Amino acid sequence: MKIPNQNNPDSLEKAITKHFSSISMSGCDSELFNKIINKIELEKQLEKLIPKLWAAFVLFLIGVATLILAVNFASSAFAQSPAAKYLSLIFTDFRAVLDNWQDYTFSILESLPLSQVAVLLSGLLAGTFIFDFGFSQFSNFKAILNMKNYGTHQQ
Amino acid sequence: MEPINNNNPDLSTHKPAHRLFKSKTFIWTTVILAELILLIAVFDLGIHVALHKARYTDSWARNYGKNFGDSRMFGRLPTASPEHDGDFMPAHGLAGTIISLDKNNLTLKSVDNVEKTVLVSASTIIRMNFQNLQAADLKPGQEVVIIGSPNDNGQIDAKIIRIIAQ
Repeated sequence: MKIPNQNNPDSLEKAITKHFSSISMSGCDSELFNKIINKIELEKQLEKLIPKLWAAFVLFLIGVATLILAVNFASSAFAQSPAAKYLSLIFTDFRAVLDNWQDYTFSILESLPLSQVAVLLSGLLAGTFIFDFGFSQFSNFKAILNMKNYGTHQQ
Repeated sequence: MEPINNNNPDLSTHKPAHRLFKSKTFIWTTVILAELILLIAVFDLGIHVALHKARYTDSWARNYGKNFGDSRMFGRLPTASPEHDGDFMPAHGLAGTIISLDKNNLTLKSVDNVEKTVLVSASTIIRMNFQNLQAADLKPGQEVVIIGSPNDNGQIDAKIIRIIAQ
């Protein structure tokens, strides 16, 4: 009998299906058959997931680098603009700020480095999506590994 | 024992009255409408802010000679601050150093290297640390943060002056 390539789940599945089709299934343990098919399915899913995990890792690195650049960009712009000084008045002269809230709000809006804030917010948004993608891929990977370990322990 | 009431409606076929509020179309319509309202509000706010800045920059430039005593500069001043990349100058806030005092008029050099005049009135709140001060306590060289409103003479009517450094 030709031994199938065990590293390739597709060829292994074909070989098993072919083997079981040629023999009588009446004596075959259906639980064992399901276990084998599930194991093959898990291997297939794992194989599909590995490139996604690499992509998530690369995206994560790019996301962190972009976020650091965006934070630096925004913080230097904030340091140059008087917006931070106006904002600090809330803590030192809260009552006076409250009495003149319209002028105070306008002073903040006029001096905010809006383009830099927009860059920072875009970086944060992109970072959130990247983190979400990476986290979901990692959760899938963990779930598949757990299922594989469960199968191994049962045997 | 009470008999079972068979007149109750069949709950399996009952459709709730608030089904419209759960439909995807309704949710998407609401989201799009809310975003449009937000967009219009932000756009309107942007117009207001830009209008204040433009008016102040214009009156600052037109009254430069009167406020700073250099009539030779009148008529050929830039209408925008080069330090702000050609943008108009902020009209309601100012951070900078006091250059001179003349009665109730303060002349300051702002952080963007532009001279500005500030009017101090009796209602202006002047504070340093936890103390309330008077206009007479202001001195040249002090670093201040000012919140106020612009007037037609290219000046800022100060509402709050916070001295941050002597």
